[in-house]
Amino acid sequence: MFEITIKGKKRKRNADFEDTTVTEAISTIYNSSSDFLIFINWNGFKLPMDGIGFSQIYNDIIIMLEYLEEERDFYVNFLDSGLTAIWKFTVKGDFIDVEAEWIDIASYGFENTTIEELERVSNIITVNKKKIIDEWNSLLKIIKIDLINAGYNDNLEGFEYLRTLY
Amino acid sequence: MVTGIKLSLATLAYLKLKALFADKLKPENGYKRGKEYGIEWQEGDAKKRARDTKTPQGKWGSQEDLDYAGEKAGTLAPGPEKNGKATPGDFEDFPINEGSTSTVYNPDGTQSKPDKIRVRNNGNGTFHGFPIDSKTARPIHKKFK
Repeated sequence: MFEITIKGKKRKRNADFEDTTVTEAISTIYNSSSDFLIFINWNGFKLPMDGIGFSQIYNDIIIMLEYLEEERDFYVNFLDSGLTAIWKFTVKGDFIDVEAEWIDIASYGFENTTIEELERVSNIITVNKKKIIDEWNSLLKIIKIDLINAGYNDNLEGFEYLRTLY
Repeated sequence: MVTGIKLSLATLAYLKLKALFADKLKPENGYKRGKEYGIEWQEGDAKKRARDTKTPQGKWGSQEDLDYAGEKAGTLAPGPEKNGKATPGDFEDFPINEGSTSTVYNPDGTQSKPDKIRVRNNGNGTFHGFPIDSKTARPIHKKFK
């Protein structure tokens, strides 16, 4: 099972015009964990991540999505103190196996949200390729709108993929 | 035996040369600013983030620390090329530099001295990563490699 849900979106900060990358901009607008929380449902385990955490893996998510448009196996690594992991993708027609190696996660204070608990569920998900792309794209569309509303434009480094989302 | 020693010396020399001429990578933009892990990251913000996430947060201490991290990350290979551009490679741990002023902020409000850095080569001339305390960060296994 793989699903992405969000919670929060109470307060967003204005653009910092010293930001030159999407990574910096995301971390500016969702500057507090209470602003925006993302939950990745991995085989029933809800892995939390805030906007700052997401900003640190944004570029890897984009690379992952670009690879998913192709028909080949690959892996991506995520390096943040809140999510350090390696995901290996094996293409099986319209479906894809994602095998995770978890190194570190952050609990954000949620009960039973530890790496030990995460390792109790299977580290492999089989998911329709379109479904996994759609889940991430839905999240990215929200972030794109929030970036634009905060005062950023598509000149930010790393905005190319966001331009394709409507 | 002699051949073995010669080979070892040659390998050592090659590795030394490789390290000497490895590209030093620049820090990501945010590390020189007040962004996460950056040298200008405010202590209060780093402490708050450690408290909110319940996870230790490493903060780069100085330009020297970033230079060292850039040197080490520069010894790592980038990922495979995609659409003519390199992608990020694998992350690795290295011992922290002597005289480092980097810090790890812990969720309980304490601070510790990092003993390692965890970095990767982004493939675009920059590195990504942060200092860690190996007493609180889990080791990298990399069974996929």
